[in-house]
Amino acid sequence: MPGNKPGIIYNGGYMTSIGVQIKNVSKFFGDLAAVDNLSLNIKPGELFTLLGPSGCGKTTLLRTIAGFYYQNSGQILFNNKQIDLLPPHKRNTGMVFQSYAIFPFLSVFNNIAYGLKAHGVSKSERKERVMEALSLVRLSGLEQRRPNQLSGGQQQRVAVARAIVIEPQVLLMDEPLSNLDAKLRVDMRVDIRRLQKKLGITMIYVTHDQEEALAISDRIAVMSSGRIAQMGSPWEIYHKPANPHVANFIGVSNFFSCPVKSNDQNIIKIDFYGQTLETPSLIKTETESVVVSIRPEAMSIAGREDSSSGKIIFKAKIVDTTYLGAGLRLTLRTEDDVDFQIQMSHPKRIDNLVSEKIINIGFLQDDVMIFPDESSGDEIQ
Amino acid sequence: MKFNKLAGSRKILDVWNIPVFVLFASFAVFLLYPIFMVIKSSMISADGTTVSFQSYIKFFSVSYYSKALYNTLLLGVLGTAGIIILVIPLAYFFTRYKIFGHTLVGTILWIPYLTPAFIGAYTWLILFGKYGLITDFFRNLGIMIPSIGGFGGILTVFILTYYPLGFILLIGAFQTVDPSLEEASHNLGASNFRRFWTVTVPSATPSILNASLLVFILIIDSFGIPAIVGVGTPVLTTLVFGEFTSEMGGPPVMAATGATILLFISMSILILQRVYLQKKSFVSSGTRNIEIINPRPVKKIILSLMFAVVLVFSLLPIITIIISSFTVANGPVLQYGQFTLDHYRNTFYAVLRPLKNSYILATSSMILDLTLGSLIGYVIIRKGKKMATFIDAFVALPLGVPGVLLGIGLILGFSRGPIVLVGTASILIVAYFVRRLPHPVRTVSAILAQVDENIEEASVNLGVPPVKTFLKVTTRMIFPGIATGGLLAWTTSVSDLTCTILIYPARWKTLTVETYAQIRSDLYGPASVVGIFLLLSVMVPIFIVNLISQRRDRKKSMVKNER
Repeated sequence: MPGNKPGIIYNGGYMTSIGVQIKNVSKFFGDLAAVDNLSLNIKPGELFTLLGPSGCGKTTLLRTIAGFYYQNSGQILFNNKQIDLLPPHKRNTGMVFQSYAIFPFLSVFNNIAYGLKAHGVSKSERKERVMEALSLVRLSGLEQRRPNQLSGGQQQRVAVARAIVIEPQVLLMDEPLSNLDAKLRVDMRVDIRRLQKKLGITMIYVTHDQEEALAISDRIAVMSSGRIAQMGSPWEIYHKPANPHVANFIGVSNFFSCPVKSNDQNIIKIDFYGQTLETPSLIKTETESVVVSIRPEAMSIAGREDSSSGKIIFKAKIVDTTYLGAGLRLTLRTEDDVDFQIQMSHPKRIDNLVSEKIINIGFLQDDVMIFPDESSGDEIQ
Repeated sequence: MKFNKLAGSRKILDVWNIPVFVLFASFAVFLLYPIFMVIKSSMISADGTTVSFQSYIKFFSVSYYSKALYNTLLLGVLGTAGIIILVIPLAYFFTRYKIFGHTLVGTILWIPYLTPAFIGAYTWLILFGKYGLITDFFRNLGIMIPSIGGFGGILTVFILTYYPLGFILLIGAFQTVDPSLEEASHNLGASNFRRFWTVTVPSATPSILNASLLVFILIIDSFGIPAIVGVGTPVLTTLVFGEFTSEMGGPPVMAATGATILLFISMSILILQRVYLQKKSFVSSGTRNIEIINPRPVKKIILSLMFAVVLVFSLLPIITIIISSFTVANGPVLQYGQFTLDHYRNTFYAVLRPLKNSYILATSSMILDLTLGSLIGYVIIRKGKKMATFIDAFVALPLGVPGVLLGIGLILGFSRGPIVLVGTASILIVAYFVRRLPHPVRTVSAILAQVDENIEEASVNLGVPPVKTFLKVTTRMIFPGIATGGLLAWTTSVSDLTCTILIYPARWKTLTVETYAQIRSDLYGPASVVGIFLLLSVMVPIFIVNLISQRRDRKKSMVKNER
């Protein structure tokens, strides 16, 4: 088996993976802080995602790690060794670009061999490693193709193969799937995660697509204005968003501003359209109202049997119905004119859900998230 | 902070500052210093010690001098106007209507522009001169037609020589007019004629003005055409040349004064053009192209005939020079119908030396231009940041510097002292290098702006240092720009007369100087032969580069079709 030779990577056991430490890094463009005193600790072998809308600084941070930008302050360390003084070509990171950045004048084989040549790998070993990388990304047999003879998905795989073949310390992915069509994107993200786990390599993945981030990551840092808004596992990010911005950026969320009845012993009592919502909360706020956030899929049309099941039930008027095939999305309006959405997975019938009709909506108290009411605040999305 | 200090030192040591430094240094020494020397010479008082404006007062008050300025400006204005008026309908019809041999016409219309200007002038002299073929033909019929020459002659030849540039620029302008604007006008009930004047022309106005300014600079800087056609009609370039060659010995005060005035005019135009271009460019919003329609047969025939007439005028110089080179000549009188190979036999060995000289000089300066030009183009697009606009404008300076002025300046500045160029090939190489540097910079930066920067970053990321990445990756990506830039630099250097004639050392006589000398000696037979060699030297490289780029385009489109 060629895979057992020392120095060749792809046989299940990757070289020791490394951790990445970002310490108080800031990067300014003019007066604008694209990355603002940001610290991160990425564990060895982790698939870590920087998630956020465009302009949040995620790509700037990635490019600073790769060395294409120099930070204005702070340090970057690989396995506790400072690397930010090294020029980009000596950092040994493997970057996959959004535009793939395949060398158009080289064949697939030479594209992948490019970095090995630069690292002085012998010709025979080069060939072996290129072939192995090609089979890892399932492109065997296409090594003599020209880049313009490849589909978008194939080009993407060449870019990945080219980055992993040099045995980088960290793989950096800058929105690698955003130029692919929706279905291919889903297939590719599964492939990328599988490959990353197989190689055990540390990977930093940048995306603005929250669904992609949830699907692929071990951990996610949600970024906003150059800072980390929240960091955690996909489950934590989705179910325990740190603030309304994160809640709204990750998935869709409904927000209701409600008066507080009492707030003591970590139990907060809220007046939710005439009913009392009781939920444990760490909010120490003395304000008179809080924001109640409920995911659309946590709410449903309440039937007679729901009234006795401990669900909170309130009335709302149908504004709009969107039929999605696998589900149904209803836009509703509360009595105080707040619009919100609910999503049902398999609606039995939809012909009775006409506009202006008033229906009962129910949800469980456990599915509620409470945030302090900051009255205003810019939307994340 | 430690890091900031390091980032600072990194900036100064950045290798990409080297080409910028070389650019500034070489322009300071070989462009600005010569300009300074010329201006300084123009301000030397009669006793040679103090600064004065005597020469300028003399220039404007003595009609011998002011007449040349007047002619230059009038020729510039009338020539430009003539070209634009001629070219607006041509370019408009060409972009809207399909005519017979559409592509062929598009190619052939370029020929007068690619022909070295004074060769064109010379052939018009053969045809319409005092002993010209057509003049003679009519004289034999008993009809006296005026021979070409003087002011009208120069004007005609300017228009016939430089209209292709206007044509090409306006085709570009009319093609980028948003078709939906024209459709809207049509939809609102405007007639074709009305639509043309109210929508199409105003939309293309910035491009029309831009074309006008470029043509104007070309005309006022031209030396060959007025020198050959316009005997007795002085313009600034010929005046400066005459004054300089006769003033040798004393300080060339009046030549310097004329050159300075010419510099002032062309620099003002260049600045106007750059400011205007940057402020106003109507970028069409749509991605749709103008549709070329196939007109009704009668219209198509009329339009095709119109273009046929233009074609005849475009091809006439070439045909004439070829025929003339095989025709028995008696001084300037060509005995048409009498075939001979004597001119080739007699001239062939005399041509080899200037041919070799021209090639060596143009190739050396082209290599310098390509090396520095590619690097500067790269810096402007990739590394320039705030400096980019400045470098871009600075490198365009030679476009506003008349060839006669640079020639005089190089002689004044480098005949003695630490750097001596006069009398060696280096003076020509330096002149060509400085004058043609804007070409590769422009072609390279245009291509590079289209190249995905990530491709270069990918190479660095894979472990190849930046400079090596430039050589391995960037140069490959910008190769088409290097090829066109090199082609432009080489062909324009080979066909340069304006500057060359002032500064060439006796041992480095070029093809253009040789041709010009033969024409001025009224040896029309040998002149045609040398001219043909000159023409081939320009046309063959252009043809080859076109062929290669077409083949590559075809290959690309084949690959696309396969998928």
